[in-house]
Amino acid sequence: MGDDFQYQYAESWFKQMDKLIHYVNEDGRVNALYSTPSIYTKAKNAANQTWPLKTDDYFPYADRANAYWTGYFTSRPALKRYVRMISGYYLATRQLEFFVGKQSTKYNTIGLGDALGIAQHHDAVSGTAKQHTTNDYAKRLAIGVSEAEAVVSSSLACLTSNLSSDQCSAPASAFAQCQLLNISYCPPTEDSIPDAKSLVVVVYNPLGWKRTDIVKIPVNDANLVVKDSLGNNLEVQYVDVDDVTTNLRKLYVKAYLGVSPKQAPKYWLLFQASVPPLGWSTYFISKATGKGTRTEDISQLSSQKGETIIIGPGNLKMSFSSTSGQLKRMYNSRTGVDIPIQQSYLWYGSSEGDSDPQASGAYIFRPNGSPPTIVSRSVPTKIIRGPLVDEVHQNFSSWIYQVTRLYKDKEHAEIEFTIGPIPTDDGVGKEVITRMTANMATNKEYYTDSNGRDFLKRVRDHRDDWPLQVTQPVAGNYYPLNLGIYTKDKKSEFSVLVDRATGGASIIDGEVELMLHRRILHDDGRGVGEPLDEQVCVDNNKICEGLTVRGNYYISIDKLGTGARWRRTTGQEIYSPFLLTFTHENLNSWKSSHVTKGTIMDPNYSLPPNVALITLEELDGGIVLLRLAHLYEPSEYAEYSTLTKVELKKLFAKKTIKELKEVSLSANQEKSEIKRMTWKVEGDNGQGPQGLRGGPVNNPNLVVELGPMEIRTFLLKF
Amino acid sequence: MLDAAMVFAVLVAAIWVGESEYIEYNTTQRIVPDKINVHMVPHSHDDVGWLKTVDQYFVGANNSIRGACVQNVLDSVISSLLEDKNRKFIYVEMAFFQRWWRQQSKAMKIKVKELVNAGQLEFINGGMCMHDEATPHYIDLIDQTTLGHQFIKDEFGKVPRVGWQIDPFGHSAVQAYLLGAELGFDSLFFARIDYQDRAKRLKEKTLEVIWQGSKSLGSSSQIFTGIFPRHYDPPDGFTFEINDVSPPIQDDMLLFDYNVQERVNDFVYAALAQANVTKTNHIMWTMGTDFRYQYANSWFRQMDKFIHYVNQDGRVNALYSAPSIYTDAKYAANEYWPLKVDDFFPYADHPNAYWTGYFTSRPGLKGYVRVMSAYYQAARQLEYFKGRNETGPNTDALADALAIAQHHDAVSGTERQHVASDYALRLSLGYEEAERSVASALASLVNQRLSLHGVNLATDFQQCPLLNISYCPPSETTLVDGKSLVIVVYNPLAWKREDVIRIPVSSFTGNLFILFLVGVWYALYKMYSITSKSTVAALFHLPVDRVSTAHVFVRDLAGNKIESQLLPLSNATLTMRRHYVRAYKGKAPGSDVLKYWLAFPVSVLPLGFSTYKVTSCDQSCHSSTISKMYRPEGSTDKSIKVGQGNLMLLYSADEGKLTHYVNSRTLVTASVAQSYSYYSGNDGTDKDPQRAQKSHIVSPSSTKKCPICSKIATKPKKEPKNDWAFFRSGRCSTLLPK
Repeated sequence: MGDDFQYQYAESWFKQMDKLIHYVNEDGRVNALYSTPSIYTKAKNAANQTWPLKTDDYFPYADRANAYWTGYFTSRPALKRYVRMISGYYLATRQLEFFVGKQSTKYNTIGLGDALGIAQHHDAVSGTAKQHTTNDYAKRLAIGVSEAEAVVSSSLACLTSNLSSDQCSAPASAFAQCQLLNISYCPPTEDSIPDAKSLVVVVYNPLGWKRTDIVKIPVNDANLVVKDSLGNNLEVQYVDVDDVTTNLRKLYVKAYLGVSPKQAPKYWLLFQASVPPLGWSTYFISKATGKGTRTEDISQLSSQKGETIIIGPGNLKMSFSSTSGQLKRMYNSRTGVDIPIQQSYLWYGSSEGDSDPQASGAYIFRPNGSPPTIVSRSVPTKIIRGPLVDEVHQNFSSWIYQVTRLYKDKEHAEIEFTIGPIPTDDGVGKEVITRMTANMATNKEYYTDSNGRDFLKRVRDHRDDWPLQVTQPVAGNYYPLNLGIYTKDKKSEFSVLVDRATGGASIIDGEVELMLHRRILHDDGRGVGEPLDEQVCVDNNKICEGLTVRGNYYISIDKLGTGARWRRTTGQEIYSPFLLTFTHENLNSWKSSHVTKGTIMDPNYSLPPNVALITLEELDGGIVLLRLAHLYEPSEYAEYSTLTKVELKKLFAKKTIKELKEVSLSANQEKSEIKRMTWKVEGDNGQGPQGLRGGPVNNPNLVVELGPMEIRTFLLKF
Repeated sequence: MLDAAMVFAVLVAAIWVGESEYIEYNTTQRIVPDKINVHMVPHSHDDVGWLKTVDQYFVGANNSIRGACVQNVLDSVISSLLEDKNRKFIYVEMAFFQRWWRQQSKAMKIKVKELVNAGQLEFINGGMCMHDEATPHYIDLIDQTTLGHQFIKDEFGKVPRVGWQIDPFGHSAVQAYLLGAELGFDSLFFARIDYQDRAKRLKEKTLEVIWQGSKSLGSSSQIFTGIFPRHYDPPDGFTFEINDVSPPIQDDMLLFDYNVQERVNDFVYAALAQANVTKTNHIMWTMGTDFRYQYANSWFRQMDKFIHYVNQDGRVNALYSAPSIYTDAKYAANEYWPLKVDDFFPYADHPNAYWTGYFTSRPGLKGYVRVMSAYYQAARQLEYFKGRNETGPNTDALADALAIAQHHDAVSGTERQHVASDYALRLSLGYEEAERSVASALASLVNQRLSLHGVNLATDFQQCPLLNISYCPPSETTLVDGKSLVIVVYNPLAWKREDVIRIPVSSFTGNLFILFLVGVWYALYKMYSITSKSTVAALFHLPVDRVSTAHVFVRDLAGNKIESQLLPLSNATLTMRRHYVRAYKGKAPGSDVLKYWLAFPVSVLPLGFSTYKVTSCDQSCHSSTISKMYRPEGSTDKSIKVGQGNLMLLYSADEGKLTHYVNSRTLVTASVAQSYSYYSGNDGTDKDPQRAQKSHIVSPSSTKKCPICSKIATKPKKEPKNDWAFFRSGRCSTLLPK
C-alpha cells in the first residue's frame, strides 16, 4: 500500500485503509489486515508449504519484449568508476584510521562512508539518476574523500613516525595525495624537487599479502633517482605523456578543481614498489647528481619491422599486425597458452523507437537493429618499449584512444581506454563496446560475476527458469560485470576483468564484449526523464563537451582450471591499488625520524592467498569491526578452494585482542543469535551438500577458519 | 567476550554521530508597535464545487481532475494547530466544515472547540459557501449566510467578525453593506478588482478603504475593506504545499543547501515591498490558496521557521495572525482611510479579459436557482403555517442545495458541466422534498377552507415545475365523467394580488374518459412576473360532468364563472417540451395531445390562496374563448396593433418588427425596436490568448453584432382577454404577453 514518495500525508492513506479493513471484514469474503513483510513471512512459514527452489539470479531484467534493462550496467561509466575507486580508498582509509586509533574527531571517514552508502542507491551508481542528482552524488563523494584524505595523511604520518602513537597526535609532516593521477595531474610529483630534499613517496598496501607493483607518477624531469628504503637505486622507466592525456588533463582538471592546471608534465616515471601486507614502503626520488637527461631510461619508440610486432617484457606476449595495428594473438611463454585473438571498438546505434516506441536510454539497452559499427579497421599504432613496461598506443579514432600495457612481472594485459566525446552530430546515440574475439569454441557459455563475488554461468539466448523467447539477441544477453567475465574451451580460459561496473556479454562463441560508454539522445521512458547525454562543462557552463571516459580492463589467458587464481588475485589488486602519498623532505632527516617500511602484521605473516581482509574499521568505543572473506568458490581452483585459516594474533601482531565476538554480516546481532526459519523445498530430500564453513573461533589461539566463499564478521576489542 | 548490547549501542552511535540538534522554533511573536508587522494568515480557499463537485472535493474523489481533498485539509490543520498553540488558521466554507464536523468523534469535537475558544481556529465569512456577488439574489445571500452563521453559533457559540470574499470576480455594493456591515462584520477582504483600479490603488496606497455600499443607510453601512496587493496567495516563494516549488528553509547545517539568511532576506524584501503599498505598519500575508494545507504541517513547519528566523533577524516582525487581529491592528492605528462608494464591477484582470461573461453563463442554471429560491421562500411560509416537521419532509435539503448554489463557481456558471449537473441534482432533490412539505401544508390549509364549503378533498397534490415548457400532467388530463380540475393558487407576497395564470390543457374533444379521483398539485412559474417572487398554484380533480377540454370553463370556489382564454401552444414550446421533459424526467412526455394554454385571471389574498375549478362542458355551454388568429399577410394595414388595455405595441406588417410603444393612460409614445443578435466568441488564437471566451469572460471576436432574426413571422392573436405576440425565426422565439 504505497508507491514512490507516498504517505507525505499519511492520514490520507490510513483513513482509507481503516475503512477498507472495516468494511471488507464486515463483508467477510476475505480478511483484510494491517501487516508487515515480517508478519507475512511468518504466516508463509507457518503454512508449512513446500516451495520451489531458485538458484542463480534474476538478471537480466526485461519488462517487455524490447525493453531489456541492461543499459544501466554501463550508464554513467565515470560515476561508476568514481564510486569503485572511492570504495577501494574507503577500505584503505579505515585500515589506516584503525592503526593509529580513531583519536580525533577532527577528521574521520564517516562522511565518506555516508557518501558511499548513498551512492549505492539503485538510481545512483546505476547511472539512472538525473544529471543534477548525479552531480550531487559525486559532490558528496568528493567531500567525503577530501576529509578521508586528511585521515590518511595524519594516520600515515603517525604510523610511519618513530614516535609512539600517543605522541604523534599532531603529525609534523602532511602527505599529499593525487586523486587525478589517471589524467597525469599530481602537483607534488610534477613540481621540481628542491635541492637537498627528496620527493618522499610512501606507498601503502591495503591487501593482506606482500605485493609488488608498478608505481607511475607524472614528472617534468627525466633525470631522477629513485631509492628504496634500504637506499638501493631502483630501475626506472620514463614514458612520454601522450597528447590525449595532456588534453584530458587540461579540461578535466579545470572541470574538477575549477582552476586551470599548470603546463602538463612531460613524463610518466615508473618504478617497481614492493610493499608488505597491510604495510608501507617509502621511496625517495631525487635529482640525479649528474647533469643532463639520463636517456637510457626513456622509453624507446619501437620501429615497426616485418608483418608482426610482438610486445611484452615478461611471459605474456601480444602480437599485432604492423600494417593494420590489429591485435592478432596472445600467448604465455610460461604456460604455453596461445590464442589467436582480435580486438576492436564498435558502437551500437541506440534505438530511438520504431513501431515499438521503446528507445534506448539510461536503463534500457536497445540497439537500433543494425549490426554494431566498427570504429576503425586500421589503427595508427605506436609501440613503446622499456625495462618495466611495453606499451601499444592506438588511435582508433579521434575519440577512442587505447594503450595496451604489458608489465615485466605481470602475466596479463592492461588495456587503458579513453573514449569520448562520443560524436552524436549524426543524430544517433551510440553505445560503445570493446570486442575481443578469441578463436575458442565456447559453446554459448560465458561466466559473469555477481557483485564481484560469485561467478555465474550464462548461456546465450537461454534462461534456466523459462523457455526464453529471444527478442533482443544482443541486449538480452548482457549481464552486469563488477569483477569480470570469462569464457573457456577445452584447453584454455579467456578472462577479462573490469575496473568498474560494466555491461558485458558474449554474443557469439569465442567473443567477449564490454560496453564501456554510452551517449544517448532519447529518454527510455522509465522515469528519469532525461536523455543520457553526459556533458562536461567549464567556465560556468559556457564550454561543454560530451563526457570522455578513461579506464582500464585487464585480459588474461590461462590454462583451463587456472584462470580463477588470476581473476581473484588481480581482482583484489584492481580494487585496492597502492595508496600513494607524497611529501618533500630531506632523505636523511626523514629516515632518522621515520620507519620507512613496515606492517602492522607479524613481519613473517601474510594472509593466505585465498583470503581478503574486506573490512578493518575502528568503531566508537575502541571496538573494531573485522571482516574476512574467502575468495574462492568450491572447485573454482583446486589449490585454493579449501578451508583456510587466518591467525588473528599474527594479523594484529602489535596489539592484543582482549575480546572477540562473531556477529552477523552487518554486525547488528551476534552470530549465535541469528534465528533462521526452516522452509521445505520442493524435491529436496535433505541429502544436499551443506556448504563448508569454518568452525567457532577458540579464544586462546584466535584462528579463524573460512570455507569457500565464506565471509565472517567479528567485533574485536584490544 | 563483550557485552553484545554495549557493542551494538556503540555501533549505532557511530553511525549517528553527525546528528543535528533539535531546534525549538519560537512562534510566540505578537504585534510589535514599531516594526512592520507581517500578519501571516494561514488559510485554504476551498471552493464548494468548481472543477469537482462539493462532495468530490470533500472526500478527495475524482482526483484525476484535481488532487483536492478537504477532509485532508481539516484533519491535518487540526493536528497542526494542536501541536503549537501559537499557530492559527481561519476557516471559511461551512458546507465543508459541516461535512467534516459530522464525522468527528466527541473527543475530537472537544479539542476543536478548545481551538476555537483559544482563537487558534477562527471562522470567518462563515456562510455555507463564499457566495458569488454578481449573480445571486440578495435573499439567497442572506439565507446561505444565515445557515452557516447559525451552525457556528449553535456548535461553537461564535460570531464571525470578518468578511472574506477573496475569490469572487468583482464585488457588489450589497456585499459591502448588507452581507458585511449589517452582519456585524468589522472588515471585508478580497483579491479581485480591476487591474487598472489596482494599479492606481497600489500607487496611492489606497488598497485599504472604508466602503460605504449603501446609498440609503449612510455611514452606518460603512465597513473597513482590504484589497490584497496581488491575489489571495502568499508572495512569490512562500508557498509550501507538498509539491510546491518554493525553496523551504533549510536550516540543518549538516545538509546541503543551507539557506536561512537567504530566505530571511527574501522574506524581508517581500514584506518591505508590500509595506510600501500599504498604510500603517501592518501588512497581511495570505498564507494559502486554493485547496492548500492538504498536509498542513508542510506549511506550518516553514512558517514556524520563518517566524523564528525573521524575528531573530529583527528587521520586520513576523507573526501568526488572523484577519480579525489584523483588523484590530488597523483600527488601533487610528488612521484616516479613503471612502469607497458604489461597487467593484465589472472586473477585468487584463486588457482583454473582462469577467462579464459569467453574468449570463449557464442561464438554465441561473433560472433554476432563481425559481428554486422563490419556491423555497414560499415553501418555508407554508411549512411555518402548518408547523415544521423535523423528521421531514421539510425544506432543509432545499436550503442546503440553494446555499451551495450561491457559491461563486455555482450560480455564476463558471464550474465544469458535471459540477453544474451536481448543483442541479441537489436542487431537484431539495425541491422534491420541499414539494412534499408544500403539498401537505397546503392540503391541510385547503381542507380547512373547503370543509366550510362542504367539499372534501383528497390530500395528495401535484405541482408542475416544468410548466414553463407546458408540461403538467394533472392539467393535461382530459376532463370527463363529471370531474373538475381544481387549482389552488398560493400567493407568497404579503399584499393582495391579481394576476393571470396559464396551464396547458389537452386538445381532445368529446371523448369520454373515466377519471380516477386523483389529487394533483403544481407550482406555476410565471416567466413574465417581475414584481412577484412567485405564484404557487395547486390543482386537483373533482368528479364533475362529462367534459371535453376544448370546451372548458373556469369557476371560482363560490361558483362564479371566470372569463378564460385558450391559446394555442406554439411548435417551439412543444419541441422544447418533447426534448426537455425527457432530459429532466428520463422519459418522454407522451404524445403531444396538448393544444392550448388555458389562461385566466386569479385573485389571491396576501399570504393566502384561492381555489378555481376547471370544468368541461358540452358545445352549448359558455366555455373558454378560443383565441383567433390574425394574419397580417392579408391585411392592408401597414402596422399591427397589439394590446387592448392602455398599453399598445405596434408592429410593422411587412417585417413583423416592433416599431412603437404607446401608453394611452400615461400618454407615452415611443418608437422602439427589438431584435436578437449574437457576438462570436473569441477563440484566443489572436495575439492575446487571454481573449478566448471562457465562462468567466466576455470577449467578442469583434464589435460587430450578428442579427439573428431579420425577417420575422408574426402571429398576433387578437382576443378580448389577452393579446400575445409570437415571433419566430430559425433560432429564436419570443412571447410577449401583455
